[in-house]
Amino acid sequence: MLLGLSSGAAPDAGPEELVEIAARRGFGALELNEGDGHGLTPESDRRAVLALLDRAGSAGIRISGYRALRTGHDVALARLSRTLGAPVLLDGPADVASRVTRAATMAAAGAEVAVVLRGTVDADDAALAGSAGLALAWDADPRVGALDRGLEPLLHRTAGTLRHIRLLGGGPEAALQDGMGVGAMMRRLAVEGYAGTLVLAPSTARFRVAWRKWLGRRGGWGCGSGTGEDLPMVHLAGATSEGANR
Amino acid sequence: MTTTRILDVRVIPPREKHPTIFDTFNALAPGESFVLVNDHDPKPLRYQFEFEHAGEFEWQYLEQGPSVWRVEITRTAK
Repeated sequence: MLLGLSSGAAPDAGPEELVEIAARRGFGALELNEGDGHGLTPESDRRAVLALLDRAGSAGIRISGYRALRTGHDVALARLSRTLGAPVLLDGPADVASRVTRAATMAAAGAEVAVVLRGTVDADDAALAGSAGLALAWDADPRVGALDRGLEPLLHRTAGTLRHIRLLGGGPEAALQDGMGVGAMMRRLAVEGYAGTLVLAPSTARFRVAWRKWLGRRGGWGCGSGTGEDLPMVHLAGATSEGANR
Repeated sequence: MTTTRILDVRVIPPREKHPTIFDTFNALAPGESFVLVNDHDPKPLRYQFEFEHAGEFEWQYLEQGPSVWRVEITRTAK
């Protein structure tokens, strides 16, 4: 297993800073969210993609996936995946069956694709995605149920196709996730010999200042953020899902 | 094919770290191992292993900082 960071933890960081903070914290992989400050889009120039790859590679960091949130640019996404040598993490508003169909089409065009499943995964959804022979990505959200139980259908109904896990939390939020199954999930992944990536992302936008500090970033978040005051480390039960999927 | 078991404890809530590590160790058969990944030198953990599992494990550093420590922990006996 390789531990990584989602660009969602530093959504305004340019490519250089993103690689720098990931390296400083000892992460081995980066997940790139469409629309974040790294600047890569499905339509990005090949040289821009290669420049980011080169920068990350020099720091010993792998790109673990490009998280696609929009629809309607599948040909460009497939090309980006091939250049990155990393899967498109196919997210978005569509239901799982629609995502599987879209992913299968992209895979047929030579793209590496992983279908994103979220939270408590329905066993039938897991089986559907697994039966299509596609790789899977899972958004592990401790707020929606014990993670080790959520992991079960992914490990047992998908024939080992789980490649990418995004843990909503960890980092500065780890201490607040006591008893939510994170330890049990990590133990299970270790014992099963999980060989994919696990990236950390803020569970909600409310923790972004805490993440900023944890990542050792300078500067503020705009007007009013330069007071040195952190956002309260609220209990997760009171947190909203605002920004959770960024 | 040999499966490499990796337990990265950097994401685990502090109070769950040591229980998770020992649960993982207890799931191993003699001869099996896992790689523990941490953000500091886990010396206190080693002392706890020596106290609770003397003669049952091997401890080998694979990487020693400055930001990441990796230790291969092998179960030698049960």
